[in-house]
Amino acid sequence: MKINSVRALIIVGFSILILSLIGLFLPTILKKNIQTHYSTEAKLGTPFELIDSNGNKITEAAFVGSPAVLFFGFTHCPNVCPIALHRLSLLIEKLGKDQNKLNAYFITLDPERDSWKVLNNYLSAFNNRIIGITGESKKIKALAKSWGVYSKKVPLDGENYTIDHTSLIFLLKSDGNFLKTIDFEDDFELSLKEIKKLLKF
Amino acid sequence: MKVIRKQLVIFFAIFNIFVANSLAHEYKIGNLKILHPYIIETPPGAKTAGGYMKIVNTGNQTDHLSLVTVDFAKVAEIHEMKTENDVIKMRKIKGGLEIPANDFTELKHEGYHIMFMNLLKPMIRRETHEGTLYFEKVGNIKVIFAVEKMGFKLEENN
Repeated sequence: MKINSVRALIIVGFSILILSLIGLFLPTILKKNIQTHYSTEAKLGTPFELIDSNGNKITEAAFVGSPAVLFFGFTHCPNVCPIALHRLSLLIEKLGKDQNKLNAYFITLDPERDSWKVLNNYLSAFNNRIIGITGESKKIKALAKSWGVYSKKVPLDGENYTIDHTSLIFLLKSDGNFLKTIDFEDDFELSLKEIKKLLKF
Repeated sequence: MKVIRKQLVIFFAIFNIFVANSLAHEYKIGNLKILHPYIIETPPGAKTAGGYMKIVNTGNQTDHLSLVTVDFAKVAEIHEMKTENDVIKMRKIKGGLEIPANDFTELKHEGYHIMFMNLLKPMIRRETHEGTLYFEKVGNIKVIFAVEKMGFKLEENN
């Protein structure tokens, strides 16, 4: 009897130990597959000093004063970046008179190839509220990291490469703080609603 | 007034369908049907462009699109785009793009596409460019890529 209950206790104890261990590590295991989650309390962004697509110095002060939209990409991107910029242009146009209240920034993750002149030329195909940001590689990396933006160069044939990158569009309140993200694949009207809401912050 | 406006809307809707359809083009080789090869116009200075089309296989044999050649870009590769955890990834497809028997494969903006790199000229709306598609089984065929405006999607026009 005694031996049996001791054995039962050991089994129960072991089970609890194993279950709690699983519980302890489960979030870490799952995290790898969970979407990058941004909460409104998140403190994102960092001070920076870079160059805009007009060749002028730009700092974090540009994100303060008006609500803003940030999108990270690169001009050698064949699909997503032009689609996202095109969509952003349409969204901005839909704001009508209010479009001057919104700032929009396209931050290159490929500063080696995207000089401010390249950005200036490229962005001329889109709404002129969208300003490009480039600069020193190290500084761009720091800025992207501060926004939780992932980017990684992937070699292609020859000297070509592409960049895996986070495709989220960040909405910033007029105080420069993060509000939420939208995705370029979201429903258009939904995104428009979110941006209209953003203008009130 | 209202009635006229309504009629106008209907007229333009029908007109649009006709225009869209008349602009669509297709090719046939063996059991494959290639629907409307197109490229999206590029922003100034862009060095890359994406090529798209729908390939329908009415045969009982799987085929593969193994190579694409063009003269308006130095490189043409068949790529796959995937979004994982909000991160967009693009990879070259190895072994050719599968066109399953009695099925179809669509090259579209979020998925498979032909990646044109080192463009030798800008892709301008309404222009056309020639290319050759090489299939493993049915052989090769010359096609014309139509340059479409930004935002164009084949699904919405076919």
